[in-house]
Amino acid sequence: MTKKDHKPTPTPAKDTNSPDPMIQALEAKLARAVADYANLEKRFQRDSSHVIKFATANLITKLLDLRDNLDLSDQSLNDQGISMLLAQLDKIIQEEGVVKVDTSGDFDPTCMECSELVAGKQGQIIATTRTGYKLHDRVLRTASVVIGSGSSKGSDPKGLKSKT
Amino acid sequence: MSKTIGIDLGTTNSVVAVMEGGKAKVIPTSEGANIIPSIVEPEKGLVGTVAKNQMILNPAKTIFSIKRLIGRKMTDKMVKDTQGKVPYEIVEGKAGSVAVKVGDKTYTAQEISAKILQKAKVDAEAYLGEKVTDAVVTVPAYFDDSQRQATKQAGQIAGLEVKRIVNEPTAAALAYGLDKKKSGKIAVYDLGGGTFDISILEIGDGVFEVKSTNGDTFLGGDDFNHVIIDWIVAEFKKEHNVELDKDMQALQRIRDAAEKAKIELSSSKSAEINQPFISQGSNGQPLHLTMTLTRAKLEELTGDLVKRTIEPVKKALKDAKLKTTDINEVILVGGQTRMPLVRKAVEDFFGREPHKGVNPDEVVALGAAIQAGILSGDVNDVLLLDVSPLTLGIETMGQVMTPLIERNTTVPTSKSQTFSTAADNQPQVDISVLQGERPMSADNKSLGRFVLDGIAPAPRGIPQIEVTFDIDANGILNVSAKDKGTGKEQQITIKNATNLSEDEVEKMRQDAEKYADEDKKKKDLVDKNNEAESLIFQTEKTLKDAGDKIEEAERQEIEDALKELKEVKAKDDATLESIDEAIKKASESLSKYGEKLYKAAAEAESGSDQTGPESTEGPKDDQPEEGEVVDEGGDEKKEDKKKKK
Repeated sequence: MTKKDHKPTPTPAKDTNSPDPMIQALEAKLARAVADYANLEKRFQRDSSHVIKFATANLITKLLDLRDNLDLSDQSLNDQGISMLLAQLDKIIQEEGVVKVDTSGDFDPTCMECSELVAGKQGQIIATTRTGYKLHDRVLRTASVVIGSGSSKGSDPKGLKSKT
Repeated sequence: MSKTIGIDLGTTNSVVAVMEGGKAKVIPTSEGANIIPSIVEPEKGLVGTVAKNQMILNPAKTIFSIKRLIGRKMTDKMVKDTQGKVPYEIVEGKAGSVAVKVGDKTYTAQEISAKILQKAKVDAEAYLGEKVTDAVVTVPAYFDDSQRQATKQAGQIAGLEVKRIVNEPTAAALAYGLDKKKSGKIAVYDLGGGTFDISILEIGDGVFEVKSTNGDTFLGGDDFNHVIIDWIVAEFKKEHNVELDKDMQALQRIRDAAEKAKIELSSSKSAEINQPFISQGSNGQPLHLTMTLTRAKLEELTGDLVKRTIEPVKKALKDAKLKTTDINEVILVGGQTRMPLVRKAVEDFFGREPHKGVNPDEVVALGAAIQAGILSGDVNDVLLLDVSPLTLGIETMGQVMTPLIERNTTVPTSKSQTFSTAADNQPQVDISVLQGERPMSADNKSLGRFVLDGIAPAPRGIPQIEVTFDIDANGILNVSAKDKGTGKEQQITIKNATNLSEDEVEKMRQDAEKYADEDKKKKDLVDKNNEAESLIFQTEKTLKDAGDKIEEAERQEIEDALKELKEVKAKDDATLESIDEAIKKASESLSKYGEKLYKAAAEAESGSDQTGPESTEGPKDDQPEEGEVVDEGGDEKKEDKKKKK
């Protein structure tokens, strides 16, 4: 073991009133890193419960396309067998907590999309061309509705193609 | 100090991003998407997807593509061109600026853009959980001073201080880390939804300079979609003599299907376009749309569009007084650049492969976030952290390696785990520090070893030895072992634990894969052996404690089963199955008398002294698990180990 020199504790060369900018910068970086981590943890908690809640959302959204086509078959062919298939699929979707967007009332752009203006009372939903679905408070797919233009004319079909 | 966000304020869509933990990340909107459609209905205060949903219902009051108008004069050609194409009213604002008339009110282009920026701000605040007051906003490289100022004003109106206006191609270059280059010439090919822009940049000492720009302001991904839609409609007409484009609903379905097919064809050679019950024939029977679009056909249909992008590129090079060979880097921006034909065209033209790896839809926003980070001091010299390249752990009973720090763990870091002794009255533990990926300790690299002695006599599994691995910011590994009972502690310092050559690391990883099956068998055997050990120990203890509460015949039966287990286990050719069988037999004989036995043992225990209350049960993280520390002596003392086990 070596003999220790009893030196007095070295005093900092700088005036203790003005903090070392290097230390300040490092402290800032550290605080930022720790904060980022804490926020990541918080986000992870939120996202985890979010992922669990919406885990099936993607799959169900894909199934909705299938449901659309099944619905079209049902309407066109009037076959009891197909109607039963449709009912079965609807039940599965419902059990996952997915609900249909109700288009019986006023137009609501948060969950509905106006695809066309047709002859009819202005602003009123004339028909639903594609069913919309919600899962909890998230819109899985907007309902596509056709709305009255207030005149006896329909929309200009070219309007959909125009650019900008 | 709040975070500065980066905003790609696009003509069709906007994206918001922020730096987090040294990485740029896109912020999801309140609707859960990654983009905000640049659409505003100022009267109802709708922005984004909500505004888009009611666009057809409310065409005169729903403003889109405002970026074409911001900062311009009414007399600009672009304003005139736009006027002919949009259903909303464009009027003159203050001092010859451009505004839109919605109902009775007039909104400047800045005010409309501000609504989009405001949504970006609100969504970012919800995501970050804190107020956001500063932003970096991107603009096209060709924006003049007036357009840049107007964009800044839009930010102010939205409650954001725009710390900097960054050129979109520059942001893209930042996202690819090209600011780290000392010098070079960069071509940024941006094919978005509605516009095409080509920019030639020069970088020198971290500063970007725009040498030239060109493009086609009415050419984008949407045009590619239209070509496909036209083809579908034409083919259907040929086959069924029905004009699908007269039916709005059918057209909507076709449009969605066309875009899906286009996207699919970027990764597949062909895509099915199936839309049953798309229409009805003249006799009322249902008509189905079933077509196959091949990549070859798509390339034939869109070839001209892609060729159209080359002219502006040539012009831009000419203006910059450069040749294709002068370009060092090529970057792709915009979703449409995912198309193989586009990529190939760009690669063929410049004679070099364009950078990829960053999502082309997000690259500008990510670059803006990086700039935002640099400005707020987040990304000064990005603190690059090391990782532990290989797993670190210690040797435990059965000569297996128990990991403490998994490979690829970011350092500095610290990890502790509690272990125990392998034999009764074991006075010390031998900590052998290992590095590697294989389950058997002999196959890994030994980094060092030390001994912790002075452990109070106790049955095996009772002492609690806390082993801690700590890697500091300099990559120095400190391993310590502390006897929680006596408080005694020993440690070892190992330098360069993270300092391995790429080759060494790779070899160890490959070996682990190569020998994975064999290693697993070995480890399973060891685990099974350990399981047998535990059973033997537990049973013997229980028998002892039961004393005379158990009948002689029953005791004999159990002891015989245990004896057999010990014999089977000790054999050199003992296999997983043979030991397992013996374990099962012993367990069976034990459970036969189990209830009786445990009752008797419990009565005995409540009467005697207990030194380790948490010895047999307890929460897993308190308890030593499978990792029981090998006792004194290292690999050489194999004989002792077997005995002591």
